[in-house]
Amino acid sequence: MGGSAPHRGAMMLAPRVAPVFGQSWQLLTSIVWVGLIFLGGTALLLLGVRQIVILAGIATSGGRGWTPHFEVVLQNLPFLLEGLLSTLQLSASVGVLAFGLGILVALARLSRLGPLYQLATWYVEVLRNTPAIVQLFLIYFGPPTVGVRLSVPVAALLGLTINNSAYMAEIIRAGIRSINRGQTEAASAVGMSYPQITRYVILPQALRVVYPPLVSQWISIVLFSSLASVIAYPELAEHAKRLDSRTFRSFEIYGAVTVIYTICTLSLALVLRLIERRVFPVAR
Amino acid sequence: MQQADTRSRATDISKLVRVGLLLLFVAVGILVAGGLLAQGAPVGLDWGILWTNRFLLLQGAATTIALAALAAFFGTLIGLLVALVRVAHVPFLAQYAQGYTEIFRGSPLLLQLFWIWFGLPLIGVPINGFAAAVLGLSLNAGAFCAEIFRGGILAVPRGQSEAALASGMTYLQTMRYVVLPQIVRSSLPPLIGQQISLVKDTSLASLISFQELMLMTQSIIDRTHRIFELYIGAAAVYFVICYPLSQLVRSVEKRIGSRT
Repeated sequence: MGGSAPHRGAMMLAPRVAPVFGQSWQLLTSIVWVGLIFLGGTALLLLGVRQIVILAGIATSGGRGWTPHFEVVLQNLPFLLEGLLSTLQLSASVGVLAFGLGILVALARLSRLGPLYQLATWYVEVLRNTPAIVQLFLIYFGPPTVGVRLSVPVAALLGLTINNSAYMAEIIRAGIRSINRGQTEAASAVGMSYPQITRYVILPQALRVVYPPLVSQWISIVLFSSLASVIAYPELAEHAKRLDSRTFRSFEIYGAVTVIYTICTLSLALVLRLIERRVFPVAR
Repeated sequence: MQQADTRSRATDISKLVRVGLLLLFVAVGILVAGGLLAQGAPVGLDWGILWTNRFLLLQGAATTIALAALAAFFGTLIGLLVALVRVAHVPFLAQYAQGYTEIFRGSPLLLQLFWIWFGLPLIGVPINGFAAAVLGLSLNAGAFCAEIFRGGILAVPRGQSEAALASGMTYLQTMRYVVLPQIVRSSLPPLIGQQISLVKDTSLASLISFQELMLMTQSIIDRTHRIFELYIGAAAVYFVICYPLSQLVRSVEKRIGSRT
């Protein structure tokens, strides 16, 4: 998803950011500080807009008597966290499956067999250039017209996996291509077979190169998984919708769920980056 | 030079022919596969439905393109402002901008749209589907653009802006005449990539009942029950919009790569 340049910027920044990362306390306070300023600033901004709208006499009929009730979110937090758990399960499964499928597609994209290469190329191009929601609808609503019925979890898992495998394939392909050709030639000269070369020479090195873009893809899978709510898969976004239709506290609920998602993806990014430092220590 | 030009034009044409043949191949493949699938169905596939509803689909496509263009414009503008504020370390404003990018990049667009569409009218702000879609998509795209621009700005060696400031230029002049012209090269490919995802993201506006291509398709499906044909037709329209853009990214990347 066009994540190459910000990443390059982040790499440049690495030496300066690294010492700050070591001091987790400082990081935590800066995150809390940024969060407070953003939420407070947004609250003030919205209050201002609300006052202007009311003074101008164009406020919606219900809006004038509105008071915030964030306790709705707190009371139903277990319900939302249940949804969050389901989101994490779905994204973890999609992340693993799409990665596996992505490796296969990437290998097909690098293959010298014409038809295989063409097929993989069009698989990637079609999936990357059409919206995920169309693909999900096609997978969920399409098969019943020919007599096959997929259950909601299967359709959600299948749709998201297929969609993300195309992005994964491009990331992995770039990683594999970044490896010097001489290595493959050397490996085949010492008598390794193609599967062996892939397994012992290419993939271990490619993984190190592709790990940073993979992390951002995994995080966007967490965001993508919210699309499963359009076919009523019970994850966090769907739970938020159900809670909203029961309580009509859209402002509070969707605002809070947005924050929950952000906390979740930020901590995921942090954990994955810590893993990167542990697993690929020489990469920097 | 002349020779190189003709040769590249020749490869361009042969590439075009190849792509055309492939498109034809894919279209025939889809038709054949659809026909085979339809063997077991109570009714066969009827691709004519796309032609009968061509004006509605085109109207949907035009709305989608207009929505994407507006959101791309505002998103890029927001992104540039946010990146400048963050790089300049304006107190409070920089933290606010950082919070904005983290929230809008860290949460799904779906929920941001829901928050704007269902939430804002509750607190009194009147908003229609179009405004909500433009606002939501612009804010989301703005956060991603901001990171693209910020990455580009930070990659420009610090000494340049220091030298510009020392020679008496103001901060804005430094950015405008020294730093920003240099980031065009590195930021252009991801920026176009961002617009491609923006085109695809407009499909989410259908969930807040804004009548773009996706909702148009669904309303035709409600009337005709031709699910396969219409969703594949809609996907084809999105593909026709996005594929040239992604080829553009590739050629721009190649061009930039060859010059450095």
